[in-house]
Amino acid sequence: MRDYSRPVAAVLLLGLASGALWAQGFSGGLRAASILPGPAVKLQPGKTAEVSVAIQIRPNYHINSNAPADEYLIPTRLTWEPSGLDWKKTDYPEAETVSYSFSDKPLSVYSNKIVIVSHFAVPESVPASLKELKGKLRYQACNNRACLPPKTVEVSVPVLSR
Amino acid sequence: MFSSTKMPFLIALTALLGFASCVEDATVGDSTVQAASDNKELTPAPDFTLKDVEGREVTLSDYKGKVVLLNFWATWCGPCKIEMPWFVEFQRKYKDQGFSVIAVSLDDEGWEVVRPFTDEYELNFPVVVGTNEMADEFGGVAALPTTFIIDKQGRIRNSHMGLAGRGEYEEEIEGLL
Repeated sequence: MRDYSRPVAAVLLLGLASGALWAQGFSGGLRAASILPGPAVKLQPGKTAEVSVAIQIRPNYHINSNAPADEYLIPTRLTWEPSGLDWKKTDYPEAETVSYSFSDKPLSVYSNKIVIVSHFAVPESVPASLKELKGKLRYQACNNRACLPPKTVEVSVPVLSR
Repeated sequence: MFSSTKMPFLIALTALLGFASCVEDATVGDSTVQAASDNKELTPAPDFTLKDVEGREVTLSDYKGKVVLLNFWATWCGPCKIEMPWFVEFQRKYKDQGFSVIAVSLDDEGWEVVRPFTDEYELNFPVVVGTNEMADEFGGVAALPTTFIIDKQGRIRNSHMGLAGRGEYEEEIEGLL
């Protein structure tokens, strides 16, 4: 007769872990958008650098654009920590205008894959220790029937300063 | 101790039940999480005391003897806005029969954003601002809207994650009044 003690214990642990995922507070739970890894950005002293952040949004979900159509909605926003570079501006992709059954007016949203591009002025003396740019992406996602809590996730883009 | 020819089935069933409790694409907003049809295994609704827009305390256990529609929502939640006018109508229609809506906002910004919303939508029932800890007490509110139908004994009879049907709510409320 086979001994199933080990697989049973493993499955029970797995079940408990998934239960714990369900039970975590409102700020936890499903992540509707993922930041895709990108190549390192080469920094040239005295020039500008474009830093692209690609985001994959889960199928059947959308996130609000940077300029949502409703004042109550939470815009998608990418911010950067001080790094020694001069953050000039960020270009957000063109939003889709989509009508949903839950809204009187069409909403300005992103879905599928989007790319946000930030522009930095690179000083003449870039610190050699600068290996990455760190930022935060804030977004809020919904599907046709429900919304997930707003999320703020860490963004890290590797840079080559020499 | 677990040795049995039925063990593979039990393992599969346990795994299924465990994973079914996770939030997945197909279920967010589509599910009625709990619909109890008898009185044997009903979960008592966790009690809470929170303040309404006027600073008055709202305690769930004070509503024993009434049917309560407890709605978790937020101002940024589009589907929640569809339901709010329904709840206003339910409050008007069933209030005198021993019913109340209680709306728990999970907006991080609190009354700064909730107060204008309650005015704009002319909400005629208690609205409070909740906390993550309170949401945890209710099993973790993974998505909004999430709504619990609580019977006169303070027990959770139904719960809905995501936009539910107006008629569905009415049927549940009338069944408990």
